[in-house]
Amino acid sequence: MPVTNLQLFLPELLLTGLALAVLLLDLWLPRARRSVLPVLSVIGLLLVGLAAASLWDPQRGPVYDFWNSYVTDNFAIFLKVFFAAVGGLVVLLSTDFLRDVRAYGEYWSLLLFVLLGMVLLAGANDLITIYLAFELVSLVSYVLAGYRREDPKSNEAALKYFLYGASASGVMIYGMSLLYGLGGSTNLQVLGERLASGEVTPLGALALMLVLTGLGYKVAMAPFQAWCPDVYEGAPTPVTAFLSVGPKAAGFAVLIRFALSVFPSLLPQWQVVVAILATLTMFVGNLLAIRQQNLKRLLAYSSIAHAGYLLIGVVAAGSQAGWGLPAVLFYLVAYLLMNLGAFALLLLVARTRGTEEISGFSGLAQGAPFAAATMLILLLSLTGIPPTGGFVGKFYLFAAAIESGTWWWLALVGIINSAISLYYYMNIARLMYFGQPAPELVKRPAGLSVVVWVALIGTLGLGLVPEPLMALARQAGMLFVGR
Amino acid sequence: MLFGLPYTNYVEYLAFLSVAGLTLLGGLGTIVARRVFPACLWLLVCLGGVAGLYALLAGHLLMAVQILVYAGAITVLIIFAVMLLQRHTGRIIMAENQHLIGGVLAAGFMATLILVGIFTTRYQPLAFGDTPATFAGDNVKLIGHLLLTKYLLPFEVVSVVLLASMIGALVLARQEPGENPGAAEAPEAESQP
Repeated sequence: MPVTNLQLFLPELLLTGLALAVLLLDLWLPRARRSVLPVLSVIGLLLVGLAAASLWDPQRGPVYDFWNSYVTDNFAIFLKVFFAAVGGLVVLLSTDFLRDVRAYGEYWSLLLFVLLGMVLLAGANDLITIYLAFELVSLVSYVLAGYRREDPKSNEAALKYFLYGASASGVMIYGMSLLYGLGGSTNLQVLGERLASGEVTPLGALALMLVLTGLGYKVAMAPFQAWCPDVYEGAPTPVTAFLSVGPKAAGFAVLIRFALSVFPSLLPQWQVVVAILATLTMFVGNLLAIRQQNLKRLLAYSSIAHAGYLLIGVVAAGSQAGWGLPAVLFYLVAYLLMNLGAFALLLLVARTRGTEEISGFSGLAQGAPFAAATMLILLLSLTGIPPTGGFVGKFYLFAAAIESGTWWWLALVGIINSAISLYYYMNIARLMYFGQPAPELVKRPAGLSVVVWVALIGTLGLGLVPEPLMALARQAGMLFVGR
Repeated sequence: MLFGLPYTNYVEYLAFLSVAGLTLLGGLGTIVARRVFPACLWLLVCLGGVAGLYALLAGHLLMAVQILVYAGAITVLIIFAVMLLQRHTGRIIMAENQHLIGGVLAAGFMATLILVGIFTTRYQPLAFGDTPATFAGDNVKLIGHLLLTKYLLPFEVVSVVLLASMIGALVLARQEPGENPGAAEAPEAESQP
């Protein structure tokens, strides 16, 4: 199908226009007025989110466009709205931090370009489109990780991210080239049909493994997680917050669409592999997080662990019960809220106390009871304790594993890992409430406060009233269920 | 039949073997060379070999682009960078192949896996569209048509990727007013385990 309806492409067009507008405005605006840029970015992202949401139609099946290289379905729309929300929150997180950073205007437009890449990944239905959108996300992420050029750690983060990311891209595109050779097309559906028609070939299995490896690097899946802590620690904190949620979610989106479209015939095999890797990822993330003293490193390992929980949903998504996809989508939203909230509080604390170590949170409850209580709720959510969004999200993920029959034991692994994570999350809570009292947080920049409030209300809201979001997630996941 | 592949045109087959061999040789030279400058020259050989492969597939435009962009522009750029750096630092940049055994093992493992995959797979006959003979000499038109129809979206995305990379490169490399040149590259960061 050639280009039929550009209206379906509205979010992408708006986002591209926004990124270019911010870039050009930065040239024209006088220095003192440049703080308009983040405001404009947030308003623009709000519009992008609304434009994407307006396309939502529970009745409509997937619409293929651009000669089938792009698909608009509820799964993609859900993720586009999600990415717009990620972008808005990260812009708010960055405003305060960026005041003293060089290349001010470029930051916003680069951030919007990454978001564009992620939005494109949500709907990409063709190997070439997937690869290019992935490179857009990756290339700009490397730059953002190295944005503090005067900081050696930031340089190290950018270089490590670049080297690992480039190798991962190489592995992934090699796998894709094998797929093209086997299927004779770059379109995911055509590939799926042609690969399913014959027997399972060794080369096809190898191609799947190579693509899985490439995507595994991007979502920091064990054993490809080695870059993650160094990059997350070295990158500027708002960028770390972004990397821990945005590109990860985009990686999961591609992983799911790819696995379910191209390899329906190999489902049982890749479920085994992903289940083993999910187990490994959860244990590596949680066990290594225990020893961390730097909160950014701790959150990096915790994000590896959360990628492991999400992989449970990916495994379950391959089963007939159809619980896996909605659970993954729900958990992504819950993770976005609790993780960005934790990063916002980290920025607040680091701003006053000048340290990103866990010890910076010591005695926070005396100086700033509200911040400490919020952090406690976010930590409970990250652990998966009710009444929080993290609990409900994990509940759905584990329920999906149990519903799928074969993979019930993944739920058990997940519960054991949640118990392990309780130790290091509650260690922070212990410090906040029983540590040495410290001065209160003097400055509370508006952007950070907004993120903290959104995270708090969202996390509790999802914990108490999960059904509306879950209903949407179920509609978004419908597409793959009736295969 | 050679390696299980039916070949009627042995001249073409010989041409393929020599070009493929050249590509492999260039690739091997690139990673084995100790000094970076010869490694760049080996890379040139490797990329030239790939251009030869395109030519054998009647992709004449791709061959020209490969030579112009990869061999011509990118390799020359790398060579410039290496020469400038060597002048700047006053020493010859050496490649440090520290993990030779591990590297050989890993590469050997992957190569075995791929070779086993290639030779044990039973391929389905597939139509990849036109055969080389039908579009020989008409490359430009064909590729142009494909870029503006079937691959329109990737074609547009490429422009965004290039723009974003350009901005990113400028952000990393540009010297701000009042910034101390060389301050960024002075301290060497130690990685933590």
